[in-house]
Formats: sequence, structure tokens, C-alpha cells
Amino acid sequence: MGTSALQWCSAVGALMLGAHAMAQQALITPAATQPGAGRFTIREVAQYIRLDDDPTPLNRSGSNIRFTTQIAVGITGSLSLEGDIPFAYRDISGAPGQSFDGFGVPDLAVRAKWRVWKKDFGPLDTGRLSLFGGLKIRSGDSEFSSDSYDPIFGAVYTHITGRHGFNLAAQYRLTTGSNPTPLLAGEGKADLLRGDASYLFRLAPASFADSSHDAWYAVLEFNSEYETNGDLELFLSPGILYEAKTWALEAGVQIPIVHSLDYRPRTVIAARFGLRFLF
Amino acid sequence: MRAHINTSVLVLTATFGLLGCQSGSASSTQSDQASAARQASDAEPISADAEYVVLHVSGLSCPLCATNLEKELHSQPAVSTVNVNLETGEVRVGLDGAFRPSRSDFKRIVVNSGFTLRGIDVPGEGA
Repeated sequence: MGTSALQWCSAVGALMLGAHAMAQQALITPAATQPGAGRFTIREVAQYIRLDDDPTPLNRSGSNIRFTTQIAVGITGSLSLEGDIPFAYRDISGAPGQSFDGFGVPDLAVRAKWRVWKKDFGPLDTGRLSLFGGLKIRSGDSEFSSDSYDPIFGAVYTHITGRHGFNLAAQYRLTTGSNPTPLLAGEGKADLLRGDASYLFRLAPASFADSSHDAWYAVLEFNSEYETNGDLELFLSPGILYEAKTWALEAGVQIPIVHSLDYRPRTVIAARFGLRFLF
Repeated sequence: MRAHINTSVLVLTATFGLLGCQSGSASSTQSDQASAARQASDAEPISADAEYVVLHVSGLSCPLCATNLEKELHSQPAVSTVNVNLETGEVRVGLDGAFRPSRSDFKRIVVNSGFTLRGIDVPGEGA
């Protein structure tokens, strides 16, 4: 089997591994929810990013397609461990020596999420606060890796009342190394601060009947990526989420609304599709 | 005279204070005994005659969340059926066989699944 065919098979395999189920979790913004003790979830996300207008002399443009398998394991009712296993394809053109067309393995990540506060004030209604911390682990792939081990820490608050769900999250990645020619946020020398907010509205059913076991949600997110070198991108991200009893389907786009970049090309548009499964 | 009054006040204050402590101790002891009795009751298996129980749960959030609880309940011996009503938070658990979980068992399951148990209704028993 040729290298290209093998890479495609690996990509498909990664896509088929399954999905990670976090209820009331938007597509990008984390949530203060997690699998119960002894349960695990698998989430598979495919993300497409179109890049252009590189402000550096490298003059890069092109696309990045990333497949991420996220696995979460419930340790107790309030503690879970998570891991991200990515696989990506890039087709980038630019100044001489900057073009790249091929597959690779971006950096992996592991996290612990600890729910430190919870108040359930109705059959459906709840407020929860979780802290999380972890490590981005270098993959060693020179094209896709920042070649460093970067600590990550953050917090997320989730509030669900009736048909409305809100998530508010902040996370900071301390960069200990760098890719000299970053293409995406967090790949360069600067630390990365992410701020995310999401609103989910249950489209159907309006109220759950005794036999209701699924739901449709409209999702709207506000996502920010700020790096300590001054680079900033803000996104508005509409999406849709279908949730059944043991699986969920998600789809959405990221529309950039603010760019202030000096070190990497800007995002023209991004799209996501994902599947989640609870075991 | 003033010293005598001050001493009397001190003695009276100490006396009432000690009485209060004794009263507090008495009520504390009664509270501890009641709590211990409840815990002992909760640890006892549900009546073998009960064919189902209804759990009143908060924080279920969504279908996928509730499945955490549903799967955990199904993994317990004697649980034959589980029906979750997301709107009311009522979880009807069908029971079968000779073994019966206790109220403490149900509470542990609900808490480990990430939710809050408000109460348990067992047909034929007090709540």
C-alpha cells in the first residue's frame, strides 16, 4: 500500500473511531459537564480551515483539515480525564520553500477536569463550574508540531435553565517552545489565551414528554484567540446540534469578525463536523 | 459590694451558659441519633415487594446527560427497566428478582452520575 493510501486510511480510521459525548457542550466552547464515574465518551471532530492574507514575508495561504479524536473517562462524579489525538492534512502555498501538501500529526493533549461547584435547581436546570488543567504534548512532526510541552489550564461555567444553555470558558496555554513559522494560533512562540462563550437553545422539543429521548439545539458561539505576541482573532460561530440518548451530531461554521495578525495568515472561514458517543 | 455584685453576675452568667451548653448538647445528641437512624434506614434494602421505585432527580440537563444515569442504573442487579422523564426529573426504576438496592445505593448511583437526588418514592413505604 502506498504512503498516500495509507495516510488516507489512517484519516478515515481516525474519523471512524467514534465520538465523544458531552451534553450541552457547544462545538468549540467547553462545558462543565463530563461522563459519569466509570463511563467514557468518544468524540470525533473534523475541522476545515481556510487561510489567507499572510502578513509575513512567507506569504502563505491554503487549507488545514484536522481530525481529532477526543476521549473522556469519568473517574468520579466530578472528575474526568480527557485526551485529544489529532491527525491533519495541509495544503499550503507560499514563498519559495514554504509550500506544503501532506498529512501529519499535530500535538496531542491530555487534561483533567474537576467540577468544583454544582447546583441543580430543577429537573433539567443546573449551574456547574469546572477547572481543568493539562499538557499539550509534542508529536515530533516538524510541519505540524510546536515541538514543545505546553501546560494548559482554565475554567468553564455551564448554566442550563429550561430550553437555554450557556457556557463560558477561559483557558491559557503556556508556550515553552515554538514552531518558527506558525500557521495556526498557538503554534508560535507566544502564549495563547482562549476565551469562549456559547448559547444553546433547544429548538425541539419545546418540553420533554415522557417518551422524549432526543433534542435539537441551535448553537451560537463567540470565540477568541489572543496570543501574547499581539495576534488576535475573534469569531462568531453558528451551529446546530442533534442529541440522542447515546450519541450526538454537531455541525457549524466559524466566521471571523476581527483580525489583528502580524505572525500568521488569517482565517478566512472554518467549518466543523462532529460525532459524539457515550459508552 | 460592687465586687459581690460583679461576682454574682459572673456566676449567673456562667450558670446560664452551662445550662445552654447542656441544652445544646442534648439537642445535638438527639440530632446525631436521628441522623444515625436515617442513615441506618437508608442502608437497608428496599422492600422486596416493591416492583418499582421513583427517583426524583435534579440537573438532568439533556438526553445525553440522563443516559449516564440510565446506564448506571441498568448495571445494577434487580433493575429491569429505567424510564427517565426529563421534564419532571422523575426516574422510574423497575425492579425484578429477590435482590433490592437500598436508598443509599440509589443516592450513590445518582451522585456518581453527576446529579442530585431529591427523594425516593417506594410504593407502600413512606418517602
